[in-house]
Amino acid sequence: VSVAWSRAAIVGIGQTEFSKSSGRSERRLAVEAIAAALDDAGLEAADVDGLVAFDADSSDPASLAASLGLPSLTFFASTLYGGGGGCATIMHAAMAVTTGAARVVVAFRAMNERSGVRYGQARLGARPITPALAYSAPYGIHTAAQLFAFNIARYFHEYDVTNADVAPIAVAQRAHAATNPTARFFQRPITVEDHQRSRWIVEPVLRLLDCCLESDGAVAVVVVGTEHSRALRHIPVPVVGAAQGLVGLPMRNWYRTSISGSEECRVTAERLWATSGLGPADIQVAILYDHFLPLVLPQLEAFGFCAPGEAKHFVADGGIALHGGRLPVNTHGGLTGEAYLHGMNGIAEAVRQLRGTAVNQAADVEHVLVTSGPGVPTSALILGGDR
Amino acid sequence: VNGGRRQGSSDDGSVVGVATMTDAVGDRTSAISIAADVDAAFYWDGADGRRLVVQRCDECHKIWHPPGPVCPHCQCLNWTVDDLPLEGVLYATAKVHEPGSPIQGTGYLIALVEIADPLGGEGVRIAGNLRDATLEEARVGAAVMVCFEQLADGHLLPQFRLQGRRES
Repeated sequence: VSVAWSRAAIVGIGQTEFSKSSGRSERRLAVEAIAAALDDAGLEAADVDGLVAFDADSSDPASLAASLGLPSLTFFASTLYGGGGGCATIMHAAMAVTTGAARVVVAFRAMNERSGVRYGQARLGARPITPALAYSAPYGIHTAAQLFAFNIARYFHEYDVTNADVAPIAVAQRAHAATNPTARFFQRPITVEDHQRSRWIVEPVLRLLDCCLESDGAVAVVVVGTEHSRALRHIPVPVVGAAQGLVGLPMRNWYRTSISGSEECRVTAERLWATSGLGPADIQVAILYDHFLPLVLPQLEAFGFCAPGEAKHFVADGGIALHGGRLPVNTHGGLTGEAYLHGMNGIAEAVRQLRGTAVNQAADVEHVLVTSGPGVPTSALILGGDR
Repeated sequence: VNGGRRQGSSDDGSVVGVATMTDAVGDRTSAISIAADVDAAFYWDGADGRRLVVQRCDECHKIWHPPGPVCPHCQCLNWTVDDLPLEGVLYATAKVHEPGSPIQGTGYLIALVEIADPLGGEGVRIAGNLRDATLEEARVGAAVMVCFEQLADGHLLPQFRLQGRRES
């Protein structure tokens, strides 16, 4: 039986195009996505009294409020740890409207991550190398792909997994992207052979086609109290579960007892299921954070869809496919097929699945699980339920 | 012990010393430098003496890495620098291809090594490069030894090599 985690619902989603080069500023992308999300909700900028940003975003709530001409805000926050904070933006917004801290809260992410500073390119950064990076950067461990390599290598070692076991995830997600016109890999499906022929980024764990698609673009999401939500344009999508989890250092989770199983996802999942009254059996679609495809496997296990070590069989048997899968995963194509927008595009996809308007619509969707980045302090959401 | 280190700075102003290093693989980059904050100065000073050192809690006698101001096991603020053995066991390894590193280039091995607590407690893991080895040789469980690479100004950086493997 579902319990009311919040009295909040998502009532608007908006996004720009996803591209290799937006040709405009990140602030402008944010404004465009927010305008689209407010229009989708049937609201105006003047209605907004709360903003939630990513700490990684170049726009903080104050600068964006100034750009939008918002006279005042009564709730404003930034979530920590990059892509781990995506679902947390909605968690914070939902808590704000539930408590009355604000009435209309917009969460957003805008980035020129492909045409601007690319996370996938190693940079020396600050000189001298800061104390926080002193035990990794001198050794050429800079990018997320390099930093997560130990964790993925241990998962592979402990559960007898190879990179070939990841190919079914790549194929399934690129199939989803191939029929999604907003995806950067629209109409470009791949085969297992394509995946296995793609070049190594970090051997033997990550090939090129395991890595997310660095992109320019923006996504915004509007959250209001459920008492206001039914008067708006769309059927509201309630926030029926949300949780965060922090276990160890972001991106350098090499020192805790086990480093193979995305412990922060397990901690998040425990709190998510406990506080929502829901469980894996209640979920029809999952949007699992796929900055690096091998890390989808421990997420399936941490959130209880598979026993530890069983996820490779689950994906090999077609478990994550839109057609015939027990749990369609990343129906938009994910961060590897649609675009890497720090997971905000996945939250928008979850809303479309629950509205029944997704281009790759799954059948009979009541609840969607959305996760944020594993390997950093993270967060997750359950959307859906009674409306 | 800090005498050889140049004074540096960092965002929080807590840096007490800086070690500089030219690219150990080739000359594709200019010198890098590593900042040591007040809580980690002992670690880099130890490396300069060809020692791999760790903090040991005065109360619970456990060790931890990376360095920090307090024992993460019992929150005691009092600790003593202790030597670790200059050998360990490979816990995880991988070979970095593209896009590589402005410091290490491409095609280098990264390694996470388990180092035992000489007093028999739980050990620590330390990341580095595994030198003069192929990915095929770098098996989980392989025995490695700690070596030190010289930095441009004479300071040293802990690194790893397979046991019994001579420096090339």
